[in-house]
Amino acid sequence: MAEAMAVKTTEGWVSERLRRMVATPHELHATSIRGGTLVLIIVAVLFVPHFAEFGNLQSIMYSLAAVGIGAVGMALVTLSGNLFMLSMGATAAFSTVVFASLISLGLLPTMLLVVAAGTLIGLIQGVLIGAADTNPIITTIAAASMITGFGVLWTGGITVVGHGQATWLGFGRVFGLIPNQILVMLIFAGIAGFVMQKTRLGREIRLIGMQRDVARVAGLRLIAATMFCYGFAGAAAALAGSLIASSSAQGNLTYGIDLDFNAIAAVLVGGVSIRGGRGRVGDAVVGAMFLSIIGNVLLVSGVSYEYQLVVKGAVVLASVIIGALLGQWAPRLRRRVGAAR
Amino acid sequence: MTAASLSHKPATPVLAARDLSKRYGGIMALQSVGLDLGAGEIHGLCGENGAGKSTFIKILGGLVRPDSGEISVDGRPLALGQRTDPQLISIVHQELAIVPTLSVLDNIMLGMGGTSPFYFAHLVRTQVRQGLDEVGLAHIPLDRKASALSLAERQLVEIARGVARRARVLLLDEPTATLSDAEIKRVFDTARLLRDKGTALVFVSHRLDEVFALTDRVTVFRNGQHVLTERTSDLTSRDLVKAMIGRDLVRGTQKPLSVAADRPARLAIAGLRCGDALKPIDLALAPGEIAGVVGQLGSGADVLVEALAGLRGLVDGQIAIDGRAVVIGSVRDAMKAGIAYVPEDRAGKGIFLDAPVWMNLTASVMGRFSRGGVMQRAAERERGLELAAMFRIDPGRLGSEVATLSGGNQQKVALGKAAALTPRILILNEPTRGVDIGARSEIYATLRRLAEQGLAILFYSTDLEEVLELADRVVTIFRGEVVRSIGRDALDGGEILHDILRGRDDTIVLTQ
Amino acid sequence: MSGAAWLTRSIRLVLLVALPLGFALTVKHFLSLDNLYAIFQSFAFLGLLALGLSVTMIAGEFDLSVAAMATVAGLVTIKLVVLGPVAAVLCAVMVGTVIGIGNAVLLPWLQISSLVTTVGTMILLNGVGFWLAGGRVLSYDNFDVSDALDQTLLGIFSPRSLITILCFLLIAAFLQFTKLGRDIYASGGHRRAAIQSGARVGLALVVCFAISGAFAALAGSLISLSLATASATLDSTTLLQAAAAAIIGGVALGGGIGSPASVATGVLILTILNNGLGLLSASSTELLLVNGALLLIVVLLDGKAGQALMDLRRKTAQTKRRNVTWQG
Repeated sequence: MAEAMAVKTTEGWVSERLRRMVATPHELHATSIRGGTLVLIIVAVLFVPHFAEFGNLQSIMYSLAAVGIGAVGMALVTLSGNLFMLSMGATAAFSTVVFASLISLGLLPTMLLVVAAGTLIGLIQGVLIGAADTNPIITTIAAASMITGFGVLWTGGITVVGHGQATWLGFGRVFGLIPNQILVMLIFAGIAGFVMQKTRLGREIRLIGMQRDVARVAGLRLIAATMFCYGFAGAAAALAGSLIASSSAQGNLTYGIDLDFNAIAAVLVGGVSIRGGRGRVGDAVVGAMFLSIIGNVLLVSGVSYEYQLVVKGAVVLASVIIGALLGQWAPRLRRRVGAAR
Repeated sequence: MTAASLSHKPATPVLAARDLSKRYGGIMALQSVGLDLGAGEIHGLCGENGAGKSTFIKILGGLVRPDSGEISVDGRPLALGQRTDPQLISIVHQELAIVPTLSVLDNIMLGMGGTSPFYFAHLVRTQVRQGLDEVGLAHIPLDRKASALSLAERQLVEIARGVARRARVLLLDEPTATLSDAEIKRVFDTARLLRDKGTALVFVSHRLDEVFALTDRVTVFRNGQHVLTERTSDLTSRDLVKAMIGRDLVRGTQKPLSVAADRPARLAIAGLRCGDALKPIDLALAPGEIAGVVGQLGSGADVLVEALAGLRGLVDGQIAIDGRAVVIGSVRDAMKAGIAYVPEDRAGKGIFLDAPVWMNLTASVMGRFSRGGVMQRAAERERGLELAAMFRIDPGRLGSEVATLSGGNQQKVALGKAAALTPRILILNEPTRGVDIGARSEIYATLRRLAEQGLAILFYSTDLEEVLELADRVVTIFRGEVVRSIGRDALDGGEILHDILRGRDDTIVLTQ
Repeated sequence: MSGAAWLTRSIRLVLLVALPLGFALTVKHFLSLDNLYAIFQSFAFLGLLALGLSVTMIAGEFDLSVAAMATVAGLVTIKLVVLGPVAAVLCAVMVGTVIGIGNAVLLPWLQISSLVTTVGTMILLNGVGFWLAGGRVLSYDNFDVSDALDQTLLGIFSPRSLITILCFLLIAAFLQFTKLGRDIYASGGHRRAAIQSGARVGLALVVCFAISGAFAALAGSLISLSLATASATLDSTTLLQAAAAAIIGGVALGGGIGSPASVATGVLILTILNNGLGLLSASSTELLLVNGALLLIVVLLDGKAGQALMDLRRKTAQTKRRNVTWQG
C-alpha cells in the first residue's frame, strides 16, 4: 500500500500520485469530476454549436468567478466538519449593497471594506458555532435572515446605484482574454488551497473535520479553526458579492442570494466529502466549473432557464448519491485489506 | 454451583448451530464452527480478540449472513442473515443498546416482536413488571428515563430486556465489564434463575473466574475455529488459557524495582478534587516510575487520569511538576505542563483513523514543525521515522491511513502521538485495550524503555494482569479515595482486588 | 443530551402566557374574533410545516426541503385544479409523500446526514418549481374553493386550520400509541442502540419523511387554493419560521425529544408574536429580524449555553435524588 514517505524515485512518485488519485472515495470522486469536466469541455467544443466562441467562453468565465469564490469559502466550512453555511447568499447580497454604497471611495478600498465586513459577519457566526457549540445549519439560517433584515433596514429594499468606477473588476481582462474576475478567483482559491494543504491551521481544520473528539484530546485549536473557516467563508461571500455588484456598480438584496446553493452544489459535485476533513479546495472550484459549463451548454442549446435548474438539481443529487456510495464502499474495502494483514 | 447436577450433553438441543463459516475478504473469520446448547444450561464462550466470537454472535443475531452452516432453535431452522426473532434468540450486546431519551419501560419493549402495531405502555407495564420480579430484577424503575441511570443500571435494563422477551436463548456478551461486585452477583443470580426456568444461556466473558463461577459448560474459539467444548468442572483455568491462546501463558520477565524512591517527585498532587468523583487525593510520581492507578468503574480512578490530562476542566487542588506548580484546565494546559495523554477509546478519541500514520504522529506537536504557520514536511518526516522506530511501527506504513492498521499497531500510533510531545509525564488510560498479546508485550517493553530514560508514567487499567505486569507501584482507589500505594515487591493481585472492592476498612460494603 | 428540552419548556410556557397577555393589554384588536381567526390561519400553514419537520427532527434527522416542497405542491395544485380541488390536493400530497420517501430511502442506503440529501432535494425542487411556474404566477379564478376553505367556523377556526389541528392530533396519537411511534423516538434518541435493540429504524425514517413531505405538500397545496395563486419564488422565511417553531416547541436538534403538543405551542408562540408585532405595525423586515434573533437564541440554548444551565439544574436535582436511588 502507501509508502508516501519512503518513495524516492520519480517513477515511484508518479505511481504514488496516481494511486492517491483513486485511493480514497473523495479522491476518486474528485478525479472523476476532473475527468468529467474535461470530457464535457471536449464534447461541448466538438458538438455544441457556438460553445467555443470567444464571447461564450467569456460568459462562462463570468458566471464561474463569483460562484467559484463562494465554493472555495463553502469548502472550508465543509472541510471543518460543519456541513454548510447557509448565510453565504445573504452575505453576498448584503455585500453588493455595501459595495455599491461605497464604490465612490475607489475600487480597492471598497473591496477591502466589503471583504472586512463579510469576514466580521462570518466570524460572529464562527464564534457561536465554535465556542457556544450551536448547530451550524440552524445558526447560519438564522444569521441569513438577520443579515437580510439589516440589509433591508439600511437600504429600504431598493437597488443601490453606486457612483464610482468598478470597471477593472466588472469588465477588465488580462491580455483581453481572461477576465480579471477569474484572476481574483484563482488567487483567492490559491490562497485557500495553500492554507488548507500547507499550513498548520489548515491541517488542524482538516483533522478537526475528520474526527472532532480526537482533535479535542490531541489539543488542536477547535475554536480558532472554526472561527477561521467561517470568517474566511464570510470573506468569500463578500468578495463574490463585490464581483456581482461590480459589473453594474449596483447593489440589491436579491443579487447573489442564490450563492448558498450554487456553492453547496459546487462542493457536492466537486467531491469534497461532507463527512468533513477529506477533500481539497480545488475540488470545489472544479465542481463550480463543471456546473457552469453544464449550465452554459444547456443555455446555448436553447434549453430554458427552468430546465437548467432542474438539471442542476439532478446533477447535485446524483453527486451526493455517488459520493456517499463511494464513501461506503471504500471503508469496507479498506477493512478487508486491514483485516487481511 | 450446580454444574455437576446438569446433564452435559443435552439430548434435544435448544440451540443447535452447525458448521458455520464466514469469510471476510481473504480471511476466515469463522471456520465450520458449531455449538449445541441444552435447556437449562449456562454455556461459557471464550476466546481472544479476533477469535471469531463477535462474528458468531452477529450471525446468531442475524446481523451477518454466514457463508455456510445452519442454526436451529428447538429443532426449527432459522432464516440466516435476517434479524433473529428476539423471542428465540435475544442478545445482550457488550455495547449497550439503551436509548437514553426513552423510559426504562420503552427501552425494554423496544424491538419486541408481535403483530399488533399499537403500543399502550400502561397495558404492558404489569406484565413486564411481573416478568422482572420473577427473575429478581424487581427493583428496576420502569418510568425513569434511561439517561438518568448509571452505566451499571443500564446494563441491568439491557438484561431485563432479554428477560422480558422470554427468549429461548439469551446471549450475554461481556455483561459484567462495567459492573460492580454487587451488581455482578445480581446478574449471576438472574442468570441462574433463568437457567432453572429452562432458558439456555450463552455467557461471553474474558474474566475466567466468572466463567468458572457461572457456567456449566464452556466452548473456546481460536482464530475462527472451534477448539474445545468441555464441562467447566473438568477444566482448570490453565487449560482454558492454553486453549484460548494455543500455548501456556508466559509471564513477562520481572523487572527489579526501579530506584526511584530517592529522586525528587516528577509529579506531586495535593488535595486534588473533581466534583463528587474524587475526594481530595494526594499522589506523587518519581521520574522513571511506572505507576498504575486501579479502581472499579465509578471509583474515580479514571477521573483522576482524565483530570490530569485536562479533560475535566479546572479541578481543585495543587499539581506540581518537578517542583513547579501548574494549573491544568484544558488539554493544551496539560500539554504545556509536560503531560501527554493516551485515551482509552482509540477509534473515538485516540487517533484520526482516516489520516495517514505520520500525520497522526505529529498531530499534537504541529507547532514544532511550523515556520510562520507553514508546515515543514521534511522535519516532520524525520520525526515521524524516529517515533516509528521507537514504537516499532513499520516505516513503510507511515503513509497509510491508520484505519488500515491492526489494533495493536493503531495503539502504537496513539502512543507515538503522545510520545511526540516529549512529555515529562505520560498518562495512559487502558494502555492495551483490544491489543493482541504480541503487540502488548512490545508496547510494555517500549514503555519500560521510556521510563528508564526518565519518563514518569501513570496508567489506569481495569485489566489486573496488565497492572501486575507493568506497574512499579500500584495505587488503589476506592470511592474517590486512595486506599493504598503498593510497591512492586509487595504486589499481590488478591490484595489489590480487596482494596478496590472494599476500601480501607474491612467492613464489606458492596456485597449483600 | 441537550439542555433545550427543559429550558425551552420553561421559555415556552412563559411566552405562551406572557405574549398574548402583553398584546391583549397593548394592542386594541388583538383579542377580537377576527384577529384570533387570523392567528389560526397562520397557524394552519406554519403548523403543518413545523409538524412535519418536527417529526423528522424527533427521528434525529432534518428535512430542509419542506419549504421548497410546499412551493412545488402549491404549483402542482393550481396546475391540476381542473381535475377538481380535492383531486388536485390529493395529487400534490402524493407528490410530497413520494419525494419524502425518496429522501428517506437515500439515508440508510447512503449513511449520510439528511441535511445533505435534503439540501439536494431542495435544490432540485427549486428547479422543479421554476419549471412548473414557467416564470409566471399561476392563478385560479374560481374563488369558491378558497371561500369554502377559509370560511369561519366556531368564530375563530376555518376548515383549513381545523385540518392542521386534526393532523396534530393524529400525529400525537401515532407517536404515543404505536410501536412505530416509539421506534421513531428511539431512532432519534440513540440511532445505534435503536438498531441494535431491533427498532425498525429504516421504516421509521421512511414514515417520518413521508409525513414531512406529505404535510409540507398539504400546507402548500391548501394555501395556494386559499390564495388561488401559486408562484415559484419561495418565501425565504418559511423554512426559518418552521425551524424556529419546532425548536421553540422543544424539539431537540439532537433528536429523540419533542412532542406534537409542544410543537403546537411553539407554532402558536411564533404566530402570536408575528401577529401582535404586525398589529403594532412592525414591518416585514422587523419581523424577519425578530424571527432570526429568536431562532439564534433558541439554537444557542440547544448548544453549550443551554447545556451549562442544564448541568447546573441537574446537579441540584441529583443531590436531591441520591437518597432515593434504587440501589438494592
